[in-house]
Amino acid sequence: MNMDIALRPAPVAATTAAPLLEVEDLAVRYVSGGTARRVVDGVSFSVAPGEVLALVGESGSGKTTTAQAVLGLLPPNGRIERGAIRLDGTDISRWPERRLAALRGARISLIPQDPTTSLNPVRTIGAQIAEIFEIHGERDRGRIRARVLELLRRVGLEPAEMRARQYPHQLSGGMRQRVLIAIAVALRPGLIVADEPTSALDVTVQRRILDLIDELRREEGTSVLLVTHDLGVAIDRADRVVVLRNGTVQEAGPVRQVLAAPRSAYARQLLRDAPSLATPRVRPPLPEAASIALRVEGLTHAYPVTGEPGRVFRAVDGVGFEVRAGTTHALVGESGSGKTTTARCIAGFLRPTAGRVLVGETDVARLSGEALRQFRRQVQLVFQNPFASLDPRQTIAAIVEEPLRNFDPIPRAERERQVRSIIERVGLPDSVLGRPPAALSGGQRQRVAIARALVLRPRILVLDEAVSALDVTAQARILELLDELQRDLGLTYVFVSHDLAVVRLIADTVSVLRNGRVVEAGAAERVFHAPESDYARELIAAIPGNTQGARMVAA
Amino acid sequence: MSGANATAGFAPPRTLVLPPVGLLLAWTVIALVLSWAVVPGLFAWHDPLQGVAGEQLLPPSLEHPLGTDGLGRDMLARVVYGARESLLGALLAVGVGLTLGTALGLLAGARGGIADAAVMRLVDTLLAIPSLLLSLSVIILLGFGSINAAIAVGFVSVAHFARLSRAEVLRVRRTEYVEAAFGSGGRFLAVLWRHVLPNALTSVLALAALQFGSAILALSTLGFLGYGAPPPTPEWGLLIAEGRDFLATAWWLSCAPGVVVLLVVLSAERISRSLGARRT
Amino acid sequence: MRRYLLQRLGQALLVLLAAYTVAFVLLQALPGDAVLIKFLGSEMGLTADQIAELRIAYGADAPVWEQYLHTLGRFLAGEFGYSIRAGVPVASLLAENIRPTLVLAGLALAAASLLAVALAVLSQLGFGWVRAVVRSMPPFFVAVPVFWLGIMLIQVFSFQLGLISVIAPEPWEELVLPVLTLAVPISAPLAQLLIRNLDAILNEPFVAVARAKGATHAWVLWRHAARNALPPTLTMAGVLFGELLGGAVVTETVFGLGGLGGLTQQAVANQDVAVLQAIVVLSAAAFVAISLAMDLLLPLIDPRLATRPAGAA
Repeated sequence: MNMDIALRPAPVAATTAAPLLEVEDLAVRYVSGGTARRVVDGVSFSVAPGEVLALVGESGSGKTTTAQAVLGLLPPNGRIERGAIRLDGTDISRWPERRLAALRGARISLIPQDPTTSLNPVRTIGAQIAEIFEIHGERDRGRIRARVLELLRRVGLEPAEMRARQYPHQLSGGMRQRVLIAIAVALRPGLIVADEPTSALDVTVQRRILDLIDELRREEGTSVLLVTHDLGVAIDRADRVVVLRNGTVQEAGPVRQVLAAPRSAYARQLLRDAPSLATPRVRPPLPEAASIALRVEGLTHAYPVTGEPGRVFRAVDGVGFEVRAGTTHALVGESGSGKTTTARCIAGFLRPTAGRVLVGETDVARLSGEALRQFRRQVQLVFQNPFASLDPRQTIAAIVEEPLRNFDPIPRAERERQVRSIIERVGLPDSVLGRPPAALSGGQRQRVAIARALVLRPRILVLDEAVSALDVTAQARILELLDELQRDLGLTYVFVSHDLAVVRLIADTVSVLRNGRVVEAGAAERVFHAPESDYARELIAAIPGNTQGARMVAA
Repeated sequence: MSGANATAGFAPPRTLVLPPVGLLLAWTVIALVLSWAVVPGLFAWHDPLQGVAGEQLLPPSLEHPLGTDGLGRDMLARVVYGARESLLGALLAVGVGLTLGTALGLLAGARGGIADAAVMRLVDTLLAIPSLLLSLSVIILLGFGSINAAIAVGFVSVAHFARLSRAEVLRVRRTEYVEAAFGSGGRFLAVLWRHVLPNALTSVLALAALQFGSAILALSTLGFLGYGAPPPTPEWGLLIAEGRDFLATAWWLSCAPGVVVLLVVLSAERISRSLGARRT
Repeated sequence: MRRYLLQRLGQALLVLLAAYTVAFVLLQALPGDAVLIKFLGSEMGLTADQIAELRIAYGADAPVWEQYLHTLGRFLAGEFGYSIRAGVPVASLLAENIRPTLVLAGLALAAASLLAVALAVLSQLGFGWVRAVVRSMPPFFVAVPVFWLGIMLIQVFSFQLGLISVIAPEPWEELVLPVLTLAVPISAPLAQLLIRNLDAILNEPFVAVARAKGATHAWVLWRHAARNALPPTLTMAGVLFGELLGGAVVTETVFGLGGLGGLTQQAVANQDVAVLQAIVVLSAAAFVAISLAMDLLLPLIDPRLATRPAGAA
């Protein structure tokens, strides 16, 4: 940890040098449909030259709005109500668009959130990097071209000449983010606003991108305003953090101080709930005697490659594992690893090309029609996105009741009783019963989805990224709920996730997937502490906040 | 966008927001025209068919707010009584398009496979023929007349309804909540009835409102060309055609029915937009 | 790519054949036998035998499927039969009338495109109330009855203002109002689509990135949005063509111009089935050809489509 801090510019700089960026008592308001909402309310902070400041918060905290205000790029219905944004001592918060435009790119630049949509799909990479020079008045084509190639090489995109001619869709997400970084550093700005720069990327890519940003800003002594929902990322990469909630500052200070002695209750809760910082709960030892609830053997799912007759793509390729009753087995992997396909085969949503999925004596892979429908009482799937998996036109009561209506007729009063009891069981007040999903928060919706899955009293619950769309605190509550339900009802979980930090909190056993194959499997404790495969090692090392964070909290 | 959008997912503060003025006006126009069709006597005090000799081509006055035509008939009465012809025709046209088109679209979207391919090729074909030519062809087959014109206009809209309802069914079928419904043991028809239909029909309804306006426009065009209701029936398109002969001397004759058609079609479009916006 | 081309071409031919079939079923196969309609009640006083002879001459007595193939064969050979009313080949009628309609439609399309682009640009760059007004224009344009607009334009420009002579207009004078009449309703769907596309594109993250580079609104509009908004507009070309043709029927009737529109109007009034059939099939062919051309043009503008796998349609 000491070594890590030493690599950064001395933190002293943060306190003595005149700040590069100073935000003072900022308030921003959105007007939509005749109603006004203040989303940033009295936020103040400053960024010293060469410093990395992280704005941390959950959705709705106002962190992105704050960053947009700094760039002068609020959406059309957003308005700075009061406060100052000083860049090198000059308040730019009231500047007209033309003056701000001259500033952007040259002195403040942006690394955006989602690299897949942040480049113009119909223009080449080279043209999009060159554009920033053209906008700022460079006319010499030869000079621009030389700079573009130099930048491409600098961010590790080789061969630069070829990359310059390519279109965005020909590059991977990580490569596109490198292009966006090249644009952000092109004119050597004093401040880079990095708005969730790696949230859309896989962990291993995330780590390399964050390393690149670190390296470039250190070379030039650039300051970075890092906006993130991930406390782990903030701890790894920032000198100081500002914690936001509902548009106000909850906590601010040097990383070490906030980690070691958070003053606000909210910061303490965030630290407790952040999966990468939380101490894994001690799970009871695996019950050796417990029966096997689920056995997957040689599972393969292949489909023909479009346009290339005869070639098939194996999304899942010979995956096998077993799960004991009452335990949690996690399927971990990055995008394209085949984890979701596997989960869908287990839940009977996809028919595998080969292999067996045994629940008790039944092979799910052979079921169809009415037999498959009956089987669904035993295995239920919880989807990733609670905003999409609930019918917007139904009430919560109707959603939870529906599975009961699909099987043996139960009297209405009895159905209602069961719905009430399961809603209470997942920790929701029964006042939600008459409401539509839109009136609920993300965490509440996921509870409804879990209630719907449990109302049939299944034995196995397949959770497909079931907490990934949720904020840290909501995520922690759902994980607690799942844990509780498992103990009380003896449920068996198949937990699919890309997030190793979350998996570590809930899994008894783990299969690490890559390109449709299991590269490592075993008890969770063993896999996390002594990974055998290179890939698993890399994945675990890439968990943000993993190294110093956990240790500091423990200390 | 965490500040701007993510919070939108949570319960919005319940405030009374006034409906937009344009939408209110649109409903007012439709309500007014509907009441013309139902109780024309309340709005016009002259006979729409019987002219008064010696009162030809009078300019607008208190007695004849929209003047009189070449046969001495009160223009206001003809416009008001014309509402019935136009609205009934448009309703019939939308009815034909909605039932036939939605049935085809549902079939294609829900069954897929050959049914889908067949329906979609039919839709492609109907869309490939310019709509006016297609309705003229139908009229040649059925003969002139207001009902036949309405059927012809409705026939043209079948393709639009079929395409939209198919797309909507496919969209809804791909949603996770439909998957979840199957996952909790739902049978095909139950899921179709509980989830797919209600969620797909909203935008079909919006299209119906839009097509209602288009139908009025198309019917008045056919009426203008002389293929709709025969004279002396008051029909808006026909009124405009009749007024054309007196363009130099009595401009108001063509002007008034045209403005009415314009306002009704505009209102239908506005209402359709408000229905569509409430989707999701 | 080549497989995609062939597939797309096959699809186009299929639609064309189906369009011919629809036209055949509506106009030739179903009861309204054109020869009977024309001569039975007419004052020519033909006997039943003479009518039967005529029917043989027109091929109306053959079984339906034979007529179907026979007519199809003639169409493929570029022969469209005889106009029952005028007694001249349909092909020569079409040839006579196509030029004025092409001129009218071409000018109207150009005017409509200009109008649509102007509206779209103003909808993004104008001041608050200008934007609101501009955005309410397209629905307004859609709702205007074309024939009524033509009449009102004549009323205002010829009778009230006396700017354009109705008695003996110059050739250009004769075209100004018809072009305007036709352009207004055509511009509406174009403008609507452009505005919707621009709105969507300007909300894309890559526009935020461009602005973060220091680009102004106008720069973003020209350098990014314009090019991205174009492809979806092209896919509308076929539909616009249909609208133009339908609009030409009405416009030519209102202004008493000769052309395909006037020809169509006469054909319907006289139940001249052969003429209408030829016009329907030809316009469907044009629609299919235009749509096909646009589909092939799109990959040149949007590189993502160039790598489209062959199987995707």
